[in-house]
Amino acid sequence: MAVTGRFVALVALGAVPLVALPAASSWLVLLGWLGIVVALAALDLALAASPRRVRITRAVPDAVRLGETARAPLALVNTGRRMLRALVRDAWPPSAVAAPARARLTIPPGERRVVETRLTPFRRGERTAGAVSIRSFGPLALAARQASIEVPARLRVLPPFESRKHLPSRLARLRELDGATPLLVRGAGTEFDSLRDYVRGDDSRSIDWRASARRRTPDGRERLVVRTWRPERDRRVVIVVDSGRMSAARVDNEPRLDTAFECALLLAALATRAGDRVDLVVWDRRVRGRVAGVAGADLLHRMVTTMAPIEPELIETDWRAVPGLVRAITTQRALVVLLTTADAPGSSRSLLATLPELTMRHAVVVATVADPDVAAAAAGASRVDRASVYRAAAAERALLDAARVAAALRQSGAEVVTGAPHDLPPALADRYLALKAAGRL
Amino acid sequence: MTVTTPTVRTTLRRSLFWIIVAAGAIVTAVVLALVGTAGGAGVPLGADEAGPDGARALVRVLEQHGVAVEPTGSLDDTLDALDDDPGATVLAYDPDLLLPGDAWPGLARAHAIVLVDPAAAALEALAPAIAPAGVIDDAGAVDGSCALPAAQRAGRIRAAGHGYRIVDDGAGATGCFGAGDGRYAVVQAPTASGGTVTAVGSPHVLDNDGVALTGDAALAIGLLGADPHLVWYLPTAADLTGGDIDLSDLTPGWLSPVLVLGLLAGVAAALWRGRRLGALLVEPLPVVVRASETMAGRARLYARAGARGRAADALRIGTVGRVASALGLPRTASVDDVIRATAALLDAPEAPLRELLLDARPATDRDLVALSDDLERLERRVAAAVRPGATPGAGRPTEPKL
Repeated sequence: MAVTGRFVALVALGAVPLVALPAASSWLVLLGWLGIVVALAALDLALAASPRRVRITRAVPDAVRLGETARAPLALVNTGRRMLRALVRDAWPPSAVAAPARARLTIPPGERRVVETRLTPFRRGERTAGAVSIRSFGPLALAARQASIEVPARLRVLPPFESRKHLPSRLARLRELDGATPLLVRGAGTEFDSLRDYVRGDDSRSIDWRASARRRTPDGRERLVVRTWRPERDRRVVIVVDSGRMSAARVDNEPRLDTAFECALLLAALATRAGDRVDLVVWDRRVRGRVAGVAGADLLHRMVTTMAPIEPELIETDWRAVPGLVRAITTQRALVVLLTTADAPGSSRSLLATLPELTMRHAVVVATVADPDVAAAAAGASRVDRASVYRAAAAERALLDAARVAAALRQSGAEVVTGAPHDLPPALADRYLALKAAGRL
Repeated sequence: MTVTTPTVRTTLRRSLFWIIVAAGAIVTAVVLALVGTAGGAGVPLGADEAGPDGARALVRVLEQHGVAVEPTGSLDDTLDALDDDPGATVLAYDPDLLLPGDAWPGLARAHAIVLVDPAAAALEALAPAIAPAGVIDDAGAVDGSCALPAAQRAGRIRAAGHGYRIVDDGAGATGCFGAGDGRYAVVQAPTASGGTVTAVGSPHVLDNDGVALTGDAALAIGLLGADPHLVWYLPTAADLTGGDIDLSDLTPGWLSPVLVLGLLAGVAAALWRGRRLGALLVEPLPVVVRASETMAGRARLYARAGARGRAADALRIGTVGRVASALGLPRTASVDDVIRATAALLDAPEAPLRELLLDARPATDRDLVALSDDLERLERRVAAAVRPGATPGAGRPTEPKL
């Protein structure tokens, strides 16, 4: 039950008869007025439609990409016998940014109305809708009945995959590697593909003399034959995303974990087009998400759906179990991509201890988000006063630490890719293409 | 789809226990208020007050002995009572000085007047022979040895209160319970009309708390029980000059109801604005930690500890690394190699470079900032020397990288 502003105004309006009527006892006038107001409100309440007799259905999409808007219409059917004049609140968590948050509706008996709620979430994860609250006013709009009705709904907010804008250019490079482009660029892989006639411009080193000897054109002329190569296919790419405490820190107002997801998505999109098989594990001390054995178009969908609800855990990542994880996915040689943070000797010790076990069997790439703030602080232009010089000194120390860790990682046989949040996904994709071109997968 | 808001009936059923408890508490309070023997407003020496300050005990005893006690609250009522029975005794007690000084003479026609703790104005009007004589702070009992029969019967009373002095010896006043220095706790003086005026300095002689102690009761009954009719006059606000004008006479009659109405409207507005449309929705929020926090924290530690040497070394390492890579030196090159190569490139002596990159110990923060500036300048010169096209006019002709 609730009262309205009109009820308050009506109570206050009692001052008029109190002052105007030359009654012997103003107190009686006051009591009379209050009696009238309360009786009117009670009448109004009795005439209001029941908010409980409303059938509500929600149509919420399963998922929406971060930054996009989802439509979540709320349909209300008045199953009562009275006209429903209602204020409806469709409750969503604040980070789901529901608009409009409230709607005024008038629903005649037996009819149906739809409130068009639009959700524009600003954080990845799962959003669970709250109850729908209906405040049903009487015909005088003095008092209202109110009820909250639970209509379960859930919206999965997927990672935005903003780095997909880098995909076309990388796919073009992949086609160049493949020799499939119309350009006069030789397929640059290492796996034997086919033999074809020599055309001007081919590398003379790739001429297959034995095949050329067998080759005779119908008109009897000799033709040279070259071998073409293509990149290896059907290799394994295992992406291990570290969701431990280091991934919670924000770089450029984006958690490192989100950057890691961007990298993983771009790499997976690229690798699956290149014919490789991609598996994903999100790990800190236990597996937070796993996508294994999925190929083709379904892969990216499965990946974003798996990633959506994962939040950084404030615990230290257990790297010792990672070789076991990789072994459980594949026993072949694979490209293992570790998306983590390796910028301080202290926190990277356990990674460094485990890395040789991985590099012994696999090609390993360690991708680390670098903080542009640190580089900016170390830059000469920002060194102007005492505080900024100390800040620059600390930044130089951080850069030195990162360089030492990167050197240690390289010594263990891993490749290291670092970059600012927006640069890291394309940089990792480029590294993947370079490895593929070099036939090191 | 489930309704989570409980219906009115469920709410009532759920809170039945508390409703019963509240109703029981209200009933108990009402019953206690009705049955309870607690005194009223606590008027000192009130004829029907049961508290320590009241005088119900004395009044009851007097009534049992056939004295009709008539409590009055204003001078007019008192004078009316005196008109009905001119032979009545009047007790007057006015601790708050509510009765104006010029109204006291009206009482003079009474047969016997007992003034409890009278002020100077009352004494001046009724018994000019008596004057206040300060406080008798002796809490103990004082002897009564005087000609007053009531005082003789009382023997001793507790006299803590005001004392009085006889200023006109010729008037025939009698002082009892002397406290020395001519002060008396009880003084009786004859009036012009043949009656008596008795001033009793301490109200404790009469109140419930003290009347049973020492000889107080004997004195009180002796003074007040002489006549069959006793007017018990305690002046009230009605005796004030102009006391018939109330605040309510000055304001319109609707003011209080309108104020109450405003209060009720306020309560209604609070209900209106305070009713929430459905429950609040809680959402766990992520912790926001910027990755550069550790760097900033280390910078503040350096600054607070004044770790200039450490800071300078960190800056030098950065510069040496960048200069070495600009010069194309291998990663393993030592600082000495870098210094030699830089000196050769810039055509500068080695000593100041060595001082800058190795030996200088900044003693103050100013030195550190200067060192940082020098390092930065060195980096710029090296960069300009290696790539002269980048900054026009920057010195040396091109030469192969070292």
